[in-house]
Amino acid sequence: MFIYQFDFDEWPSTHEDDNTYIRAYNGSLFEIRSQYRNIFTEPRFELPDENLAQEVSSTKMYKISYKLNILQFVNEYIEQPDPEKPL
Amino acid sequence: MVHAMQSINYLKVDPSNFVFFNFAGPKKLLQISQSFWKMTKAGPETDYESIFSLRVNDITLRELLLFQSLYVCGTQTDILNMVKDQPDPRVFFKTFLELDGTNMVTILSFDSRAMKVLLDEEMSHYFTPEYPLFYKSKIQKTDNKDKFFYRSAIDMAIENNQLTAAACIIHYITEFQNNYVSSYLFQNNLIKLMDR
Repeated sequence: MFIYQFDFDEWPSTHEDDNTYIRAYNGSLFEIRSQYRNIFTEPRFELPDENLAQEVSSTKMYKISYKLNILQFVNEYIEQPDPEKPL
Repeated sequence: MVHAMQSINYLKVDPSNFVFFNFAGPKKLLQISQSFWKMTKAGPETDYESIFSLRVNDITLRELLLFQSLYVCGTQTDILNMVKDQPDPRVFFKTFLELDGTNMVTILSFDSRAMKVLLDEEMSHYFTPEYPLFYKSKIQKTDNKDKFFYRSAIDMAIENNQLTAAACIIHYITEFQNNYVSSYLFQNNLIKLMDR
């Protein structure tokens, strides 16, 4: 349950690179749909131009699976003891 | 229709969610949804993505009498016997507005023995995985009837030191309610659970 698997229309569904990439995301789970370019900032991950899609051979393309590990959200509001307050 | 009242806001997973009441058809659904911009040829349009739905049931006189009887039980053993005596356990899994949008299995989470009976594998054919059984509940404070607090069944089981009940609930969630929305039930209690 701590893995959120998603498939948004706004995110590219295929890529010619079949490696696994891990990126950090600190925003809201419900805003991730519009955050693709803020997460994958590198030029090689830019959104494909639909007009140029025909020029790339489809045999080189791999399906992308996006997963968000949300275990880090748990207990994110733990109150830290005040360092200036005596124990 | 979109529900604008705050009384049901506790069901939202995130403050940005919307609550929809689909009560026109034979199936009364309470849907928690998230809006987003969908790009179309005509321009951006607002669309909604369902996060989870609850099926709200109309309470029958028999069910009302059963719940009344559970509330007047003197001991937990009496409650357990009443739970065991029911020919159809689905009455405990139904969501009712009369119970402030919760179900009896959540209310009974303070008792490990009742949870063991209700969430047993033998009951699995009564479970409906499309609607979550465990979600945040609104509970009236005993010392101030105008105020409420919001807890899940896991919180209530831990609060009452019923670790068997908590284990039964977690087993149910991992088997029948295993999606990212359920992770919010562990947001503030996972450390407590690990400590036990």
